[in-house]
Amino acid sequence: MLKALLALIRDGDARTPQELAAVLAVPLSLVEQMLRQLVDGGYLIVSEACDDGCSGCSLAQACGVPPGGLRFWTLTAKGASACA
Amino acid sequence: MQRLARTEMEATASQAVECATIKVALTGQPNVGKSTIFNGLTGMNQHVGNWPGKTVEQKTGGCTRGAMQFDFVDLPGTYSLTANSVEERIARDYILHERPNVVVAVVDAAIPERSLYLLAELLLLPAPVVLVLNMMDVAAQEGIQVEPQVLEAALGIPVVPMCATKGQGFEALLDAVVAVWDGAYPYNPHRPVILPAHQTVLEQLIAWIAVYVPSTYPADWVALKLLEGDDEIVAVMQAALPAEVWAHVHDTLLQHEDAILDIAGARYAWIGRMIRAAVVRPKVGPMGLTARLDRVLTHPLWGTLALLGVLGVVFWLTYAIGSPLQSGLDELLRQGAEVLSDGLQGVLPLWLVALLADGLLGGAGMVLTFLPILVIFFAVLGFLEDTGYMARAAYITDRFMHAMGLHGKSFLPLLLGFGCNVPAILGARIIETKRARWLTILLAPLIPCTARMAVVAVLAPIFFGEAAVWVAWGLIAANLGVLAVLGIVFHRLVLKGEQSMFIMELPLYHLPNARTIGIHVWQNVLAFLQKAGTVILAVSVVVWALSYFPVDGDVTQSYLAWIGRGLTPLGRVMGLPWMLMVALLTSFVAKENTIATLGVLYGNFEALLPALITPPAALGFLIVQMLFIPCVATVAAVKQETRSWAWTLLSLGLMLVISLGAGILVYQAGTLLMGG
Repeated sequence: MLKALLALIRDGDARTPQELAAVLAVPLSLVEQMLRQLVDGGYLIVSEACDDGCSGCSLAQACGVPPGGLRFWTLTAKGASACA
Repeated sequence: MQRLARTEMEATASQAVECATIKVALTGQPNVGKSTIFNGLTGMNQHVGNWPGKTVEQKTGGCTRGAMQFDFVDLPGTYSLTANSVEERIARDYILHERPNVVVAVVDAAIPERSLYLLAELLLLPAPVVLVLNMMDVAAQEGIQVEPQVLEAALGIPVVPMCATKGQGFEALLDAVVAVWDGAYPYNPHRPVILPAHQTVLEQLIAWIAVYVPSTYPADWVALKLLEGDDEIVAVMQAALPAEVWAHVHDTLLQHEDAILDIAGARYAWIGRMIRAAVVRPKVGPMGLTARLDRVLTHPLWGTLALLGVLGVVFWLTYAIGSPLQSGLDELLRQGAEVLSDGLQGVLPLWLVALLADGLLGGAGMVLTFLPILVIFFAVLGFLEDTGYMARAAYITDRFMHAMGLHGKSFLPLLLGFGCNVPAILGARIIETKRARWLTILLAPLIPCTARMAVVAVLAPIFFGEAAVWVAWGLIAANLGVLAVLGIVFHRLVLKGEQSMFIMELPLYHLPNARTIGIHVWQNVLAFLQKAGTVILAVSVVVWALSYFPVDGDVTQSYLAWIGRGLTPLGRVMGLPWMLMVALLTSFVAKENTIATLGVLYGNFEALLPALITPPAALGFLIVQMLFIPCVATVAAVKQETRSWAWTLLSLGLMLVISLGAGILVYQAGTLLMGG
């Protein structure tokens, strides 16, 4: 199922955790658990709004990041080759 | 694995004959009510200390039931048994080395799927497991229907529903523990199965390591953990195996580095099957509402149309409410300038009166009349952000990002560009690869920032009246279109087709908070006022001075006219008089200076401009304004982040060519179409 999840991301067939949950027919919380495991394994990178790159930015207060931030999971080279 | 578990079961049953004490370990994730169950079972008969050599709390206790004694150990809360944390190590080491007679796995009945990965790992250890579905009352309140009998049949282990906080289910739990312990329950766990390809590798590993595995570990469990890449077990076996055997094992593990994906993937598939079999979720609720809204708002066609509609409404509200207020303030300002000019005539030198009335009030003062437009604009955007809609807008535009093949991390910086291009460029720091970072920096100035949109918000109604909403909407779409085309081209040239796929989170919709929106508006208005009081004020004075001297007050013979006439050939192909070209030029310092400069040069430009230029020229001017080289702060940010003059100049040159080219094209094509 983890390889199927990586393949869905690679092929652009799912673009949100909700879509992954719908395609894989599992609850959203299980998809979140899978994403965490794939991040820990180096198959995905997670980026969060105002993470380390924005630290110290004087405009951070006014940059208009949505409340609660946004998270993105990007496929790494390891992740791409694992589902090849 | 099943053979081993059966052997362990026989061993625990034989212990039962010798002593009537059952050693029970309680496991589960944090916040599933494990401690409530432990306290309910042991009452005052418990001891609290630390795990040997660790700072993690250890709770033990007991209870009796007839002639039966139960000794409980409350293991630390864990999400899995992968030895990633000290808690996970304690939990699995206790089960492996202390061998409790029964393990009780506590699960939150409202979200059972979260705990089943831990259960999948527990079922591989040498101790029988009883599953507790705690918080059944909470699950029922949330409309989640969990069927313990179905789950029990699917898992092949006892499943006990409980409401520990209400004291319900304790007797049934003890019954299940005893039944498993004495063999009365037909314990036959249905464990996740790994792929046949890995099964062969697993058997090979077992054959190699079996005689060397330390006695407290089951060999087949150790082999599986090696295949999963468990650091602790790898270290244990590297120390235990002879060098030549370790070399074989190590090579095999390297060849199957990604086996964890199949092993863990099989566990998730197993969890999915269990949940589908035994859990029924409500169709409505907060998630249901979000899902229903998202069915439209994130749909490829309807979502795009909704986004365009939302943008249209933003501009309509801005014009419908903000423009009359701006006109009123403008009138007040004009009267103030006249009163000031009349009152100071003869008191101050003529040039100083002109500076105050035309330079300061006509320039920086004119920019301040935008304030109502900006307040409404920021309030509407703040409202959309606070409801969670902006994430959907990001999701819709994300399709273009995928088409461009941009790095997932490029998305957030570009999103920030709608507020201001400077944080967008600084935000590109989060992108690791230099090529993707530089490409993001190159594209960021094409995102229409609020300053550019504010200028359009003021000028579009002057040129196009009622059609201003459509013009503003089209200008933003044009900017994003240019960004997409450039992105695709540069993706092929710079990133050479390198793909970077990603997914993004969509938060739940929620009611907006007035205070949050107020803070958003205040921060943006404050930033605007600071700019108006510094950069825009200074540029207004400079533009006024250049337009006033050397022949006092005669703009046609001023230094600015001399500069402007240099731009006349370019202005001619765009149908623009030199004053508008100069206004564009001053926008390099700050975008709002376009308005300040028009105020200084024309005075009442709202009335004069429509008569001076044709609609195609006006549209061309607005397009150039939107695509023109970014403000000096943005250029400085580009230089700072790329540390490359070449890339900075490429960025400037590119935007200059695109903006002027688009302006010329629109004017010439429009004039041709209108029969000019």
